[in-house]
Amino acid sequence: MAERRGECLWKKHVAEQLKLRDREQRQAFEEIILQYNRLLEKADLQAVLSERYQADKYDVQRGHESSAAD
Amino acid sequence: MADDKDVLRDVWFGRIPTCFTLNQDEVTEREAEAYYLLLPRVSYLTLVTDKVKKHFLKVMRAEDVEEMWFEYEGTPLKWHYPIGVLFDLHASNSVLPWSISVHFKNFPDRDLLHCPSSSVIEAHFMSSIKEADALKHKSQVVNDMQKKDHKQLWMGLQNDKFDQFWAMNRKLMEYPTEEGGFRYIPFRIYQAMSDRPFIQKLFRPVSPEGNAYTLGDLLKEMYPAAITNDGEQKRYQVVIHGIEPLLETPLQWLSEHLSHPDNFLHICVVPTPSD
Repeated sequence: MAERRGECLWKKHVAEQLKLRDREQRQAFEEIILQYNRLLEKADLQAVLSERYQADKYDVQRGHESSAAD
Repeated sequence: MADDKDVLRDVWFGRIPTCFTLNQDEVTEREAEAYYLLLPRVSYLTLVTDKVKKHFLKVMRAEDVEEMWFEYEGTPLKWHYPIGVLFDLHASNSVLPWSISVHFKNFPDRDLLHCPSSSVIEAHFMSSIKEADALKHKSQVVNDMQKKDHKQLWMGLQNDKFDQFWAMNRKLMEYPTEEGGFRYIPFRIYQAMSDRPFIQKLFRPVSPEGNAYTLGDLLKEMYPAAITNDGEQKRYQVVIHGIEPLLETPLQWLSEHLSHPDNFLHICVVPTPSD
């Protein structure tokens, strides 16, 4: 019986330390990293869209200029 | 035993919060935001950083891009060590998230192996498993497996499939009951303050009298400075998968439950923080 209690101690220690490790290293950061990456994706999309918008605006302006020259 | 399976799962699903920033020497067309990831402890840097590469390539000119490599506080990070080992060895007592610098030029050939594709990682991973099995079973288990079984181990790791990996890996963890353990324990002891890559010698899990050796017995033999005697101040932490197991933990159990997927017990000895 004494040996069984002893066995439980070192094994319990490993199991508890792993849970504690995951709380500090995984769970504390999981949600905020997910949210940040979503923000990053949105910012990238915005950059692509505004680039396209600028290009369109330029095309429209050029169209005006060429019709004015006619 | 139910809690043993929990230990295997917790080891497999361990993550390290990491912040990647582009090194300031890199020439970019515009500023790059930092990139954050939860890195799997049991995997390899070059296997899980495709998104990091893609993110930073967006701001780079193609002609400035060579092989990507990583650095932490001046130390180039060896991709052929498991991620958890790199963190425990170099950064375990620093503030989270782990801050890694990304480089695309000046590859440090003297410090790092090149990693042109994931097949190089696969070859390294399989050779570790074979080396471990040579120590545990004179290579009998790994040689009895088929090519597709080897593939299953690798695909399990690559795709983060715990059940797929362990369906095969449990064969590598078996041993004859009457022997009480493996022939030798596959282990490597890493030291933070040393140029030596690691300590690896032959060590049996059971004494000639039939007593199970513990983590403390292994350290006494391989790295006596890591053991604190009564009344002494603790100088070193002995870290496996980010935790400090008790020194009385049996080595055979550790080898079965706290080994990395490459079947080695990677043990980091780091100085105790002074504050």
